[in-house]
Amino acid sequence: MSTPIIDCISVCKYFTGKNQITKAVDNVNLQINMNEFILIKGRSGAGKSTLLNLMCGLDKPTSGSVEIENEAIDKFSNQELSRLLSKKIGIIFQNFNLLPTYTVFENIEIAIDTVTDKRVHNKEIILPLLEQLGLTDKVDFLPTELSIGQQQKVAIARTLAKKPLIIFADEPTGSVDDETASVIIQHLLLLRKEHNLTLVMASHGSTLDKYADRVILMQNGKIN
Amino acid sequence: MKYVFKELRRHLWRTVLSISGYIIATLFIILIIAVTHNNKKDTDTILMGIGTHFTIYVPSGMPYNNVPFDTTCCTEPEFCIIVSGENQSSVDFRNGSLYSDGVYTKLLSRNFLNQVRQVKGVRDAAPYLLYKRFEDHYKADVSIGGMDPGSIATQNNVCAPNDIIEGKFLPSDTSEVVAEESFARAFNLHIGDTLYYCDKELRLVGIINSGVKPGKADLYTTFDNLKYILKDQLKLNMSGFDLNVILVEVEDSRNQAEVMEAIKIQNQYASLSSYNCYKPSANVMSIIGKASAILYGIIFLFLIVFAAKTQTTSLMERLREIGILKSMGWSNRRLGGQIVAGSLIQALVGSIFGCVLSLITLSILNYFQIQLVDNSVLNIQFTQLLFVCSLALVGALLASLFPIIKIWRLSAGDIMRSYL
Repeated sequence: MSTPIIDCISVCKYFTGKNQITKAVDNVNLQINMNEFILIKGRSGAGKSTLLNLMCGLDKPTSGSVEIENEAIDKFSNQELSRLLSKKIGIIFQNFNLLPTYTVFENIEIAIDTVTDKRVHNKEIILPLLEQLGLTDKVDFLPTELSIGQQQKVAIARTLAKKPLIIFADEPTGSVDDETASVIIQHLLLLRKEHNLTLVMASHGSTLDKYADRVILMQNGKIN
Repeated sequence: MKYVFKELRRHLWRTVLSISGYIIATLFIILIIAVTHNNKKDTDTILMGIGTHFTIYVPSGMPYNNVPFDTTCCTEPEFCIIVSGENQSSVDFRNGSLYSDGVYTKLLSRNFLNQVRQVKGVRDAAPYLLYKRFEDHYKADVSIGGMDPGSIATQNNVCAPNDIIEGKFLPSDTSEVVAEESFARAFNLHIGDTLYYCDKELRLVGIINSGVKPGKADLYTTFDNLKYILKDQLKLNMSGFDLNVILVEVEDSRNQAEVMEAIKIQNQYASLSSYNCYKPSANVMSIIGKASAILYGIIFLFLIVFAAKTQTTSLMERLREIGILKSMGWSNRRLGGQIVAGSLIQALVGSIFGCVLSLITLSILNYFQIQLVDNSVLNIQFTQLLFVCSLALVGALLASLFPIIKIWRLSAGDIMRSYL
């Protein structure tokens, strides 16, 4: 039996509006094993992104608990959470979230600066990754000088550079065309295999179903 | 730190504008400090000279005249109590006496004078002999003061060289005296005339108008000259007892009340006489001092508000980046440190440039002689420049608090939802 690396126990996340409470995630119980590729599917507003944010510690649940490696991350202090995010978790966003005034190299460097051994030169980590993703000639480019697909590749490289245990990807192909999406997914799967990563991905389409170890469907904040 | 500098460089215009703000704020603060400080200094110089003097004497019930000095009567080391003679119902200068403020006085010792000089806040204390007698020649009571003319206490309590209106200020020998203008006019005296006092012939060498002074007399001479003139009237045969009034000048009129109180505590028999001019001038100085302090406070608040606004605007612009950095594992402490460091660097650079610019501006103002009062030069001290730089740094530090609190309160998830 595989070891669960992520354990969501009765996780709820409610948002309070002016006159109503929105149940973005409602009593979700989910276990994700080491090296597993989980695809969370659902329509827009189903609660996929909120669940992803809860699992990676960007948000705290209204009730319930999220455990990573048997530690309840919702009880973590800011410092512990920062350590978790910088060392064990990598997040890929739909809109990439690259820093627009930093070059490709600097965007990656800024993510690993707190993690890497100072004796190891950042170039030794970053350049092979960029080479693998076909971005060697874009090292000194600003994100605005790259295509959408290249920007997402930089975002992937930034996540992988710190060698995380788990990657959370929120609609990583949502902003790109099918061809680019396919390339990005192929890269992600290859890198996942290479680095023995656990991959939790949110998507509203069905194109990725065939690659996932498990597909979870979300509707109205609940897992069906 | 490299990300701090990188961030400042990457948003060059924002950094330049922010630093410009500090430059302008520092420039105005220094100019205001220079103006208020010099204004305060100039007004204080004028006001501190008003009412900063008073006299000390020990009243007696009987005249000091031809009474042999009796050492057995000295119960206090500071002054001598004359015990012989009868108390008189009214002051009568027929036979002459040491006096002050219209009453007979006792002799005071040099020891007491030195004690007064040691009191905190006393700028100068000088000996004074003030004697009055009825002169048959003029059919009037005529007073004479023996003073130390070089003392500032004498100049403010009795008369000063710039009070002279005719002739010379200082007599050169024991037969010369200076007369008050009122006395000279009353008896139609002119420079070179001969005066008669204590059976001696004296020559008038100067006419003076000393104004309203506590130690005012009809005639003036030096302290030693008067001792010589009155050698037959006063038996100053006890060492150290040769004055009857102590003239005091204090450093600051605001401290005069405390100085007088301290002397009163030192010697309970002493009478202290002042025109109380120090009270309004002390009040004015106090008002100016408080106004300056309030102005500095307002400037400091302005600086903090300005810096806080700059930092908050900068934070709002950077919130997206901060959300990204938080999601990558940057701690609140590290992000807060970046904001503080960035803010401090901008404040430091801005305040240094501001200091340089303000020095240039002050030089220009002084070059074109734009002054508050005549001969007043606008200047600023190095310590004041340091103070303004420190103020800018403290302001920058305080201004960073709001953005830091905001970062602390917002989770990465909140930022993602709201700003990305």
